[in-house]
Amino acid sequence: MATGRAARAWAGALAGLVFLTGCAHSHGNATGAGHASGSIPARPALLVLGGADTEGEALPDRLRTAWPYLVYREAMPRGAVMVNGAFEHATAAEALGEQAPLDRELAPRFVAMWIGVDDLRARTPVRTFERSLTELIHIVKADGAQHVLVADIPDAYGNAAATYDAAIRATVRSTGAVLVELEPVAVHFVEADHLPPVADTATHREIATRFERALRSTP
Amino acid sequence: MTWRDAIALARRSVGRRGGRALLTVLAVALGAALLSSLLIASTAAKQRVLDQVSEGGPLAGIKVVPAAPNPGSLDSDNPSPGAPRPLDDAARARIAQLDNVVSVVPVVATPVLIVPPDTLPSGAALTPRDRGPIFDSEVGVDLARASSLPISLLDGRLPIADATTEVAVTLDFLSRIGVDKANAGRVLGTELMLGAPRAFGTGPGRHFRALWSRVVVVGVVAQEAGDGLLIAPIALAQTTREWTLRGSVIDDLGAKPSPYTALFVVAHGLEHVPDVRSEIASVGFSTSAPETLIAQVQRYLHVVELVLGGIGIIALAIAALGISNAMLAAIRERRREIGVLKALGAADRDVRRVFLVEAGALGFVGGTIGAMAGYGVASVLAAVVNNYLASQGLQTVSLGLPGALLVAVIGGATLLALGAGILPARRASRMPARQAIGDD
Repeated sequence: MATGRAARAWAGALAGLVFLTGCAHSHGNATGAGHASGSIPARPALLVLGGADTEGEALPDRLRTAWPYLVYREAMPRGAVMVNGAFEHATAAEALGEQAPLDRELAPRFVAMWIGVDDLRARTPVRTFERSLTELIHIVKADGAQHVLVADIPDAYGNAAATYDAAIRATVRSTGAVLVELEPVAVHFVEADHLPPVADTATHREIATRFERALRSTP
Repeated sequence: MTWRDAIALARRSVGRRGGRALLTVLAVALGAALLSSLLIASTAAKQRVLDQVSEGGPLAGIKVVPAAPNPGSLDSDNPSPGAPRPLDDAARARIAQLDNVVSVVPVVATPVLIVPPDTLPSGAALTPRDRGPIFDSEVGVDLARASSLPISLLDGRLPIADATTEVAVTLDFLSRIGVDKANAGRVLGTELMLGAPRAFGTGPGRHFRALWSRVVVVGVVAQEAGDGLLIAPIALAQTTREWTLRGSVIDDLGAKPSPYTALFVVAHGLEHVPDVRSEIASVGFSTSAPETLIAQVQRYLHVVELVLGGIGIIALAIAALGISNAMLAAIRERRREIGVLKALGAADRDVRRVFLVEAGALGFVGGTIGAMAGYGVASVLAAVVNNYLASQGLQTVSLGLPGALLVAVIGGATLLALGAGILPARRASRMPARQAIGDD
């Protein structure tokens, strides 16, 4: 009987020990699993050519509000890549030398260009401008671009815009590109350091809308 | 007497003294619950600590960097590397052929400009530290072998290995865009614009253009991805890196000319890590691995395991004493029954068998209940701990079902009970029939 009492005492002590001791935590590793590997297939590319306005210079948040970035985000498939090759003071001839090489490297399916404002400001002879623009379009087409969008110049850039616009339209017709009509766009300008006034955010929104519309209208 | 008779007699005896049997089973169950919950907890804690030390990767992981080894610090876990040296496919192949190397996973880091959106998919506005683009690095790895890499998923999933539009982000990225890490899941589905920079020209006329791509955040990882904010499929990182490396200047952008910015090597066990590191040094590359730290942590954790296991075993041993005590009490109460059995011709071994069956059954039932209860307790505590970890934006843990451990606890409780029943069974079996009946 003594053994039984001792065991019951032990049982009581054990129960107390268990309740007092408590227990523990946990563990684990939530490492994610992977999938089959492979190389990246050729991705559709958009190349944008142009001058200071196209570069988005002087806009407060140009990577979100300049027209090339709006077109890229809103009208291109998510898998597409984009290079904005524009830089300030880019005439058509300078674009041929500085921006066209990007086309060779990217071989883009889509090319959007707004060239002519800097030629207008630099007073490039219209015939020279037209020749350079034609050559530029031929280059991008030869490199495989299937959709070449070319914008004209809004009237807000001055009386000379009409002359350049005529040249742009003629070039578009002769090369089979798609015209993006910016001529009637009411441009609001903002001052920029070391640059002539450039289009503001609202104008970029309008320009992007017109590029997107033109892009969607192409077959 | 057959086994069936012995089992029937034991069952009848247990049923006749149900209260005592219940208490005995409860004692065993409590001991088993304590033992199993402590072992599950210590195993879990050990795994969690080692995961933390190895950053969620294999314990035998070694990082190889594109630099020659520094002779002055070969024995260090994290030595300062020597002169830069390209880490290419040839080096990767040589390292893969070394003894005790299980896998070699290349890593490519590349500078990238990140443009987050204004709002999260939920519509909530982002309040980043700075509204401008974030200039940091994208780290590309072979995500088909993510289990061989120090990557721990906090929310969502890792990008598909050959995806071109998926990335995972780090906690540091969340902090940069003003998202609390406790709300990490809210960034899933966010589209980011990534720009791989390239310098054109040199000197004052130098300008930059970016190759832009759009990606969706599919996961959040717990650790910092090396020096980067994003983890991407390696092919995606290589493509953007090629664009950057074709530029006129790359150093200013933080890009490195080495084809791979690191290799993550897994050795065949922690014990082989020093040898593999030494061999990689002889191939000509600097390595780092937390081997010394892991070994020290493992030693400490083993001591903790021994202590916790010892506490559980003591509890179970006490329960076994309870069984022994209950059986001894039963012998006294069942002397007449034992005497009758012997008078009817039951051999000593038959009586012994009845008592051993009874002890074993009590141990088995108590062990089973206790093991399940221990797992339940550990699960509840795991849920509480996980809630806390999740609220802190830390990697949660999962217990899994430690089947072998539970079976071992049940088996151990049964064996211990059988052991505790040997003495009473022997005493009962040796009791002469005349004395058994006469004493009553």
